[in-house]
Order: sequence, then structure tokens, then C-alpha cells
Amino acid sequence: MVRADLNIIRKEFRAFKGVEHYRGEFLHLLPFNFHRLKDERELLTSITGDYIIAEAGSVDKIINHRSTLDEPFIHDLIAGHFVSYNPPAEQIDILANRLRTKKGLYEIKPALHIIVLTLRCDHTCSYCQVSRVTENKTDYDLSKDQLNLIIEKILDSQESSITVEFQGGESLLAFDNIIYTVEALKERATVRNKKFKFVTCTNLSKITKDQIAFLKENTIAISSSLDGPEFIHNSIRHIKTRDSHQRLLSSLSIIDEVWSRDYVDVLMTTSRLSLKHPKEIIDEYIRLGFRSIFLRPISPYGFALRLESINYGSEDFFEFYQIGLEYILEKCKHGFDLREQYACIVLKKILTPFQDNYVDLMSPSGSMTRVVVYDYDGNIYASDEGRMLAQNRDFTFQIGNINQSWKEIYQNNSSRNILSHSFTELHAACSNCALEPYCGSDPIHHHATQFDIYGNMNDSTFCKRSKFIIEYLISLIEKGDENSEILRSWIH
Amino acid sequence: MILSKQTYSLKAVREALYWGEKNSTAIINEDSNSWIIDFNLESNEDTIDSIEFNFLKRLNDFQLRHQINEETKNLRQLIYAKMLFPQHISVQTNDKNDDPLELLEGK
Repeated sequence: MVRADLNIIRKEFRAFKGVEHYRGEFLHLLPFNFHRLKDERELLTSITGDYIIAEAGSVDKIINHRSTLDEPFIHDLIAGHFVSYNPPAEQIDILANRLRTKKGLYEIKPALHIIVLTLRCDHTCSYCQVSRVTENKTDYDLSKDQLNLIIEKILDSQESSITVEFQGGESLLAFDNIIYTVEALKERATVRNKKFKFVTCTNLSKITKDQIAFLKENTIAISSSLDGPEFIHNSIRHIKTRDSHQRLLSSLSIIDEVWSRDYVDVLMTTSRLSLKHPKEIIDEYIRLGFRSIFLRPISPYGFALRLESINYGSEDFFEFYQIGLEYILEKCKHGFDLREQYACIVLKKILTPFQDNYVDLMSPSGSMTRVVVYDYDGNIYASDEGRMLAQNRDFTFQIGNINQSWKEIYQNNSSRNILSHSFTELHAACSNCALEPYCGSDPIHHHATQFDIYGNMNDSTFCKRSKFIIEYLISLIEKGDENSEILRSWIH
Repeated sequence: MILSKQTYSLKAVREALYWGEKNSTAIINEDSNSWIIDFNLESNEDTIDSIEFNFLKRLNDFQLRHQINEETKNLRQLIYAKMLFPQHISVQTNDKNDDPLELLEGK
């Protein structure tokens, strides 16, 4: 039976008493928000993230003239949990269950543990967000004693399925410590009832066959960077030999030969130069056989905040994103298999009862609740961005150190301060925004850009970007055309 | 600009001002029946008329949001409470979905 028929039957079933029976006072409001679109139509979102786009004036009718609503619209409103014939109390269980499915239990249970093994790096990238030191300065590495404490902290954490991510500097410069940590954690995983996944972040300039063999043997995924074709990549990712892009390609060839590209993910960061070349960047990803690209703006932290030459405004990024996404969709129509990752994250929130654990777009914010960072000196931060701020002597997001227990860490003033500013549901501006179910909280971004951890959303680049992309994606999926089908197929 | 207190809540007025243009400021005064809003321009990019027009558009939407919130805020809190503490909150209902044809009614 086709879906349309089912809907008719459902609606008939719901209406077996006749809509007149339920009109007026019997139609109860459930919590919802609305957002006025550019064409004046109204986007209504329920507390669980169901949405309806309605003509201008619909919200006023729902609130003040309920008896004038037409029957099909009432059915849509009921199906989306905007109104109910039954007393609202009867909806609490179902809405609470759906909300829990979407957002979890709001626990502090970091599933991503990032270990900064070293600050040493062979690159001096323009927009690098953290301090780095030259390759020979081993004082900037974690010691074995510190690593042992970190390993114990990971094993002590509440979450049972944990991803451990090795970062730097250049993590492969401390490869012995990767081996040590992976082996120690694997050895104790069963006894401590943990499951581990491992990721190493590397610029892939110096990876060897032996290192790849170890990564393969232990299924350690590789996260690297590709900013586009050679002229873009090398203009920002500086190395003495000026061949960062060529080195990346050589390493990818070795990985293809020894292991598989399926375990390599690359991220791009949008610089001022990238803004002019979205299509060239996407073509490069396709040429190198990648099936996803993350059109990411530059993070306003560390060196990136100070350098005018690489920074840019929100509107410039929106134009870049829009051209980029439309180009990806065109490529998909011609048979290429490529997805834009930010769109995938947002679409999953909009179109399914679930969401990914993408720590930069969730409420409560993923900082500290889903991710923690162990720095090379033993300090612990709420997120990688928090560590970056500390490089500029701003320790707002340092939540403790490896000598403290989790209880001491989570109950200190710093952690409480971060947590209390991590909820969109509690923010004066976000709590009545219709896009809130698809958005997230980013106290670190607002602290870094506005010197106000709470954040003024009217002047927030984070808010602007989220609104632009969410509204843009909804407009694309609402068209019901081939683009809409492609975008829907990206959700998995 | 003078706004009736009967029509617009202070919360809606404040929220509409929050999302205002960056080159303007506003002062809220009141008498017994009205909110009195004085706008000031800090640059010539806009006019007071356009600032007031945009403010009123936002205000009407925020007043609707305020009405939704007033009618549903207790329910919203209960939903979150039930979501966070499912075992501790029990809602007694007479759920007609269990008996849509009312076959059990009266038994």
C-alpha cells in the first residue's frame, strides 16, 4: 500500500468522530516554537523536532482562533505533536520518550577522549589554533607516567564505548606513545568492561609503512587534513619543503597499498583563499576518491583569531557553503557519491528521531559532557577549543588535571560554569527559537568571540551560521525535487 | 512608540528589542496602561521609521511565542522532567488510545 493511502486511512481513523466533535476548546496546545521564513511563511517545530511549514498567519490561528483551523491542517498539527485532542497530560510520556531518543539523558559521559601526545609539529600552518614547537623539542611530549594516569582516567570514566583520539602537534612524532596507549587500553578493556575505538590525527607528511601496519593491525582510523588542490592546501599548510599537498598524496597512495582508504577521513578548513574556489576544492576531493567533505569555517581561536589575512565574515562563508553544496548536489546527479558532512548532521536532526553525537552542535554542549581533552602537560580541558584558548592564557575551560578524580573535576567551579551555560533549552534567546531542536550550544565560541560565555545570539556568528544552514537545508528538502531526494539519501 | 500593555507583554517587548538592529538602542518606560519605547539611532544606516517597523513585526511574533509559552510552559517542564527522570514521574491519564472504540467504557 502506498504511503499516501496509509495517511488517508490514518486520518480517517483519527477523525471517526468527526472533527466538529473536537473543535474549539478541546484542541490543546503542546509546546512548540515558530520561525518566520524569508517568504513570510511560518516554520513550526515541536518540542521533539517535528516540523511543518505553514502559510503566514497560521500560528495566530492556532493560538487565538483554533476553531477556524481546517481539518487537514489539524491532522498535520496532531501528527507533528503541535496540538492534541486529548488532555496534554496524556502526551507527556510519548513526548518525553521522543525527546530522550533524540537527546539522551543529559549525562556527563564523555565518549571522546582526546590525548594531545605532543606539541611538536613539522608544519606551521597559518590558521593553526594551538602553539606548536619544532620537532626536536621532546619536552613538549606527554611522559609515560602522565600517560599511565590518563589511561587510568579513561578506564575510570563512566562511558563504556569510548573513542580515543591522538592529537598533536603531529601525533605520529610520538608514535611510541600511541603504541603504548593502545596496547595498555586494549589489554585492560575486557576487565574494565570498555570498548575502544582509536583515531589518530596526522598531517600525513611522514607516515611510514610500519606505522600504517600498526594502525591497520589495531584498526586505528586516520584523521587528516585536505584543504583543496595544491595551490590552496600549500598556501596555508606550511612546511619547510613546501610540499605538504604532495606529501599527503604520497601517504594516501601508501595507505591504499598497505591498508584501505576507508579508514582515512580528511577535513578541510575554509580560509580566505578557499572562499573563491569551492568547486575546485570539491573537485579535488572527488579526484582523490573521497566520498565526504566537511565544508567547515575557520574556528575563531588561537592564531586564527589574530590573523586578518585568513579570517572572513559570516556572509562570505554562507556564499561559499551554498555554492559548494549546490555543486556537490550537481555532482551527485551525475553519479558521483559525495556527501557534505555538516548537512548530514543537520538533516539527521531534522528528518529523523535521532541525532549524531557531533559535539559542536548539540545541547547540552558536547564540551565536557561528551568530550574531554588531556593536554601534553597533564591539564584537562572541556574540549579542544578550550585547550586552544589556554594557549592564549585563558584557562576558563580547563576543568582539572590528570591527578584529580572525575568527581573532583566535575564538581569544581569551572565545570559548573561551563555546564550551566551549555543548554539551548535554558538560553533566553535559544529557548524560544524554532530551530533549537536542530541546533546546539557553544559556550566556548561565545566566550572566545564575545568574551561572554552566555552569548548574545543577535551578534553571534555561531547562531547566524546555524540559522542560515538549517533554514537553507529545510528550503532544499521542502522542494521535493531531485536535490531533496539526494539530501534525504545522505541520512544514515 | 506607545504600546498597550493589554496587547503586549513586557517579555515580548524585551525579546523583540533583543533581536533589534545593532545601530539602535531603546529605552523602555511605562505608565499604567502602556509601554513607551524610545528608539535612538547610533548611525545613519537606518531610519527610526524602519527600526520601528521591524520592531513591530518582531514584536507581534514574540507576543505569539509568549502566548504559546504561557499556555504550555508547565507541560514543557513536565516533559523534560519525565524525560530526565522517567521512573520518578508518573502521569495519571485516561488514555483513550488504549480503547479507541470505547469498548471497555462502562465495564
